[in-house]
Amino acid sequence: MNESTGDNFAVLQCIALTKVFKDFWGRAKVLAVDKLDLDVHPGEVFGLLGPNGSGKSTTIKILLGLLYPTSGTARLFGRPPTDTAVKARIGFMPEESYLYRYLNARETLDYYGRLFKLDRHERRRRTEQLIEMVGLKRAAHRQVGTYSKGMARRIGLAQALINDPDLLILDEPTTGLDPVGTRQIKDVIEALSGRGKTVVLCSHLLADVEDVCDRVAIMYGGKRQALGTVEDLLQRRDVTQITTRELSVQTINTIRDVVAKAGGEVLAVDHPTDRLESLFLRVVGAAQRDKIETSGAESTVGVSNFLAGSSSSESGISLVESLVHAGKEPTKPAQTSEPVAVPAEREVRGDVLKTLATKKPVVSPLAPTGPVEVKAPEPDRDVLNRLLNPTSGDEKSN
Amino acid sequence: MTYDENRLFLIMLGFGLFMGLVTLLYVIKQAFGRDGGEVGGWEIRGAPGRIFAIARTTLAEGLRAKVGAGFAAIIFIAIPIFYFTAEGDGTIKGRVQMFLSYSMGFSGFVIGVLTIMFSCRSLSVEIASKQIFGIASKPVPRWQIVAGKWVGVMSLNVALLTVSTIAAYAGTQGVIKRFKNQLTGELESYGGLTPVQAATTVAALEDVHGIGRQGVQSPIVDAFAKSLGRTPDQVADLLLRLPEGTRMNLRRFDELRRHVIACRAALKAELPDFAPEIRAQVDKLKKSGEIPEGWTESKLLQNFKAAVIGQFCTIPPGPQNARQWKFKGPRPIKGKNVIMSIRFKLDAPGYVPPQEVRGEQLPENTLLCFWGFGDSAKADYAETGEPYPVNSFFELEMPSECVEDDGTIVISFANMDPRRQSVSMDLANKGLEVLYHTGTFEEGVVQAALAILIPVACLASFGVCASTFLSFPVGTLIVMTLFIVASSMGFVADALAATKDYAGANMTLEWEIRRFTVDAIGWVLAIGDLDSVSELIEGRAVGWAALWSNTWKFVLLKGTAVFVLAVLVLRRRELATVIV
Repeated sequence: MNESTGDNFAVLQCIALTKVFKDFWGRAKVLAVDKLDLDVHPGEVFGLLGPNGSGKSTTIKILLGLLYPTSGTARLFGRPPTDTAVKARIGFMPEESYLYRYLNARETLDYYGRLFKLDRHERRRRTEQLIEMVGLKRAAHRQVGTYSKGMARRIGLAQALINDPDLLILDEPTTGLDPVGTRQIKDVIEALSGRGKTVVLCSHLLADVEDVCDRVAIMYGGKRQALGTVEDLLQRRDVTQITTRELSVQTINTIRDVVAKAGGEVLAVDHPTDRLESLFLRVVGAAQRDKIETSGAESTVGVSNFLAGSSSSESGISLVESLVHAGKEPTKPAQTSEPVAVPAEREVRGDVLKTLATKKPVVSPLAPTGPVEVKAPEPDRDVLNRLLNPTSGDEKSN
Repeated sequence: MTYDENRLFLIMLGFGLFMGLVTLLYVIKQAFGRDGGEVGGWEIRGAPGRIFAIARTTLAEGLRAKVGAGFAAIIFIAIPIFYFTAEGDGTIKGRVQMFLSYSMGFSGFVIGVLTIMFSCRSLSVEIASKQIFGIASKPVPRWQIVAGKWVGVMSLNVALLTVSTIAAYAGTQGVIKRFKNQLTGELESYGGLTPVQAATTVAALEDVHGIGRQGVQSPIVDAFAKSLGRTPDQVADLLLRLPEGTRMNLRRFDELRRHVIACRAALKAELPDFAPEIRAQVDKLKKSGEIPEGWTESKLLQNFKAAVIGQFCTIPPGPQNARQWKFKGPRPIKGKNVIMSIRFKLDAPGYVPPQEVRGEQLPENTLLCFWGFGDSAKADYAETGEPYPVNSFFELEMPSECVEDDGTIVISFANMDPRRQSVSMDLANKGLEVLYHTGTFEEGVVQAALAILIPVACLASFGVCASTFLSFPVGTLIVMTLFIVASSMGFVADALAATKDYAGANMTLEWEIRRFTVDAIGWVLAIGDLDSVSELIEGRAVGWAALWSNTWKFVLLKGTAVFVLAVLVLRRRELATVIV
């Protein structure tokens, strides 16, 4: 059975999903989603990528029951998205924070908590934790209408999490957020993913997707153009990278010789640079520790207890501790805030994704093609062995 | 109505029906015109909590947004202005009536307009601004969204109406207190009473019972005598020392207390059964083929009935032409302290000149008439006669002892005016009623406020329904039109009724279509038929039965029908749709 349609246990399933927008007289005008097949499995962090107008948001809106498919089927937890019972298990953060301007942060979260039938005690607990988590404790009494865009986005995130959802749908989650907020989104995704929850991330900010997604689908013209794991999609078979501690010039030259002898070519030898996100988090973390006042959102890292799966009233991931160690104790090596050596290849991978996302499709809009299945190539073991063996003595000397 | 006018009516009717049909088709298209729509979502469990949450947010928005605050400010600026400017006819009764009429009527109107604006934006603006995504992506059935919005709009209305009613009530009490202070001052100055005595005397006005009329010792004298510990003669001397204006004010305050600051029920006169006589007349005309062209049988019957009743209620002068009416209603409480009165309007054509009879002057535009209360064969029978003003309403107190044990009240009337002027009473338009106290003024105010809420609740249903498929300006325009037409429903009903009974030769089907249409238009446009403010200023109770009947017709029946339509539309509607 087809990978996209065969899993009956998929959290999210689209089968030949099509959406055509019509004019007042019912004439078809825009083919927004075109026979989309998609499966998202439990516990997966799935990225839905594509340039503006590629049909990502339309797909999300169909999945939320805000739009109805013209043809095809969409199912969440095996039920139609318009089934209200399904929505109890979903958290949704829209592309913009469409909040009630006259409510403050607490009232907003309390309101959404009521819609999920949370009891009073639980609503209060979650509201306080989420407000603290998104760094709006000091601004919690202010009406949401007075918030900056980033602050409103943070409340948008908090409301999406109030029900501790089994499926979190994030539509352009990092738009308008500062790097701390962006980091927080990633932390939340990791925390939920760690608890076996499913996350669907819809974005055109490729670096965000790359950091957290297990699998991605790339859409263009309403069609799915590519589908696979991030590693599968990004791995370059024609380039090999070795990361070591600092080497002497002599050793590098030796390596160059070995590579040349093996018929290879050294494309670049340089020192990796820090990521700007990590630098930013370090600076803001230091400012927090110095207790510098701000009227905006406070920079917090970590997720609230109930999201982290802790029922204790004490924070499972202490907020203060998180602040102190902001950017120092990564939950995953690949997503650390510590300045890490980012291989040049990662930048290249970003380029690959960008190329994929912006490349004009060659297919006709009305004739869908099958998804591009990218298989991971086997690593070139011979090159690796030859590279390592002659230089073992040099490494020791270093 | 001529044949051409009838044609014009049918053409206009056809156009109206066409436009109505287009609107209906559009609504149906919105409701059922595409695949998809909410699955399930009819559960009741948890509904109150969610409806309350949505309502609370809607209310908070209404209170904190400038629109809601603006409307509240309009009311709260207007009521103090009415307090200082309402004068009426210059009497305390007129002042109180005008203040109550302005403050309650204005509050009702402003709340009606606020309801339209607030309900019409409730969902349409949320859909346009995409705030609805936040609710629709949560496990909230769409009927609960509609219900929540309606409850939210009504919560705002109730909040505003409660505060404005309290303000109107407090204002009324303020006007009365100001008047009492004035009376106290006059009693001190002209009556030589101490401040305490004057205050006690004024307070005693609240306990005046019994009928006061010419030739009978005023019950005010008894009340004053009791409160001051003096004899009636001493009190009479005291009253004579007062200026005429002060004495008038004492009477007017008593009148205000009995006729305005009260909660009274009204009984209408029962007429004899004229049906056989009317039927015979119609049959006679039919037999002789003298039915006028274009007249239906029902119109003929109505005209005959009106003529016979008019004849019965027209009383020529002379004791031989006396009339007797029976009133039946809930059994009134008997007793000396029970205040009952008849309210009547004597219609006399033209000017009635003044005349002197046996040294007594009969004023102009009055007629000397006699009223008899109860069975003349019984001891409780009472009679009174004096010149009563014509062409305006007049209230005359009657003894409650004349009420029969089964609640029947027999009232006789004789036109004894020497100027030989006939007089008539329009029984269909409150031309003759028996009024009796059923509760407190506060109860009457509460009933009047509730009566204001009924059309507002119906309007809120229309507004929320419109907001499910129309933009805010279009929805507001349509519901506002409905509100204006419904507010002038009496005029519209008369205009429609005038066209209803015309039927030319061989036009039975057209007549039936028109009759049905006119009735349907009348039903659709009506959002309430209680004139609660008029009732309140006349010291009348709206009545719990009337309130329930209106609630049933206009909120539970019509409001629910509109609510169901709104739910059907919203269940089918794509909330994130893009019209391209």
